[in-house]
Amino acid sequence: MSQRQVVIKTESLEVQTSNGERLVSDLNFSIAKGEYLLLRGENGSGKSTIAQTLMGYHRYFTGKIEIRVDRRQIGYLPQLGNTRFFLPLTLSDVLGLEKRDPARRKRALSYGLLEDEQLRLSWNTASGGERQKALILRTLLEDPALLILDEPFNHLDQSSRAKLTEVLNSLLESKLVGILLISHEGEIPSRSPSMVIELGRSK
Amino acid sequence: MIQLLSIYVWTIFAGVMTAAALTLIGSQLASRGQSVQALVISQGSSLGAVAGFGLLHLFHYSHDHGDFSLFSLPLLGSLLAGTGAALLCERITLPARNTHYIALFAVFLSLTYLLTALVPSLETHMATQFFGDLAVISNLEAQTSLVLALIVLFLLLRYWRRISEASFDIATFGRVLPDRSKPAINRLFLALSLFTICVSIQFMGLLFAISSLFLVPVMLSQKLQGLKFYTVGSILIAAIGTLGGFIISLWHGNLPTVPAVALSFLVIGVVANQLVSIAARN
Repeated sequence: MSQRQVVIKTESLEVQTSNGERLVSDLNFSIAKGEYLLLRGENGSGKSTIAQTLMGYHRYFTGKIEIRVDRRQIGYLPQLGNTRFFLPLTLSDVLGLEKRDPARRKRALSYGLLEDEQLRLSWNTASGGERQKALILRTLLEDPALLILDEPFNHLDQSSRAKLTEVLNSLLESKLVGILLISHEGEIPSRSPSMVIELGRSK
Repeated sequence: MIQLLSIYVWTIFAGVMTAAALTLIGSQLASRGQSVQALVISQGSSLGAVAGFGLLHLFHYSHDHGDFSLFSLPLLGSLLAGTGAALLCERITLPARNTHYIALFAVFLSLTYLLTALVPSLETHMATQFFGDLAVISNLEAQTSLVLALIVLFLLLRYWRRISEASFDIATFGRVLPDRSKPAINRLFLALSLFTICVSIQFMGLLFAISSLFLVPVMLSQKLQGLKFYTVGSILIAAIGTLGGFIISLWHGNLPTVPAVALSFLVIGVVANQLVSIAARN
């Protein structure tokens, strides 16, 4: 049996709000490549704040966070905020696809989340689902060893959800990435998480 | 006319390149929701430049000391005050920040006016700082601003895609993805923005700076599709607008240069919008 390649580990992690209010305490987990951890809880329970803490953006915490990959190897998909952008970017621009780099374009299309003609859509007129898929693809194209996905299924229709499930399953099977999935919808279909954390209690 | 234009060749090149650089900077600042901050920094920079002229008057400096002596102190004042204004803006993290920025703008404007009232000989400089006049820029000033604008343009275009990605992250995810994602690029962009705004205000005035910063970007932002088309379109409008406005001003004789340039941006922007719409329909 191969050894677990842990990419992130926490010990006695307690996360607070900026006012000192405790969101979660004594959080102990590790995620290895090929594993995913499901973090779920009600709206406002602090799921996204925990993700931001792990990313180093939220600084109100005690305990230990050990990230065993290079920071640049962390792919983070936050929840979509503003949906309008002043510059008239296309989805292709958002993904950083340039004519002189056809390999990146080919790779982006290989995930099957967006079609070639959708890449020419303007960010400002694309649907919520198309934008979400562009952001997911942007994260995947950076070759992450640790993926932190905050509600990745938001805005997606049934077929897109199935496609994303397929992509996540294939990433996990490749054992090149560990995933922290924040979702109020539950597990990735057909695959059990290595650990489920309900905010306030872990099992 | 050609002879007249040849006299202003350095001014024209400097105006065209500075307008192009400011337009690119303005489009990114607008994308990041920092337009009002830029206005405050511009006014702070104007205050610094007027204060610099005040010091020159205090030391009885004149053209006899050479052009460089004449503009170096106001330029230094412009850069220092602009940087101070930018740092002040950064410290404002309260809700409804734009209201606080406008309040700061009012303070800077009042101080500028107060300074002018205390030193009446500064009135001409204050008018120049506000409305500018490309026709009175000396060759040395034009050459200096041309070189600086070319350097800024080169750096902006070199890192344009990455600066745009950083602006996209800031606009789409707000403070969830702060500078950590692209710290060097954001620092470079902010430094270039501050420097270009202050230098252009010193040499070309507030009206030229804010027209180039925001008038051109808003003309195209919702019409063109794709970063490359938008970038090329913006640079073209800034360049043709500056050239066109300057020529109209010279030809008419009584038209001031900077308002003519600003209105030229507007007219060319409207025409470009119409052309894009026609092209899209066909």
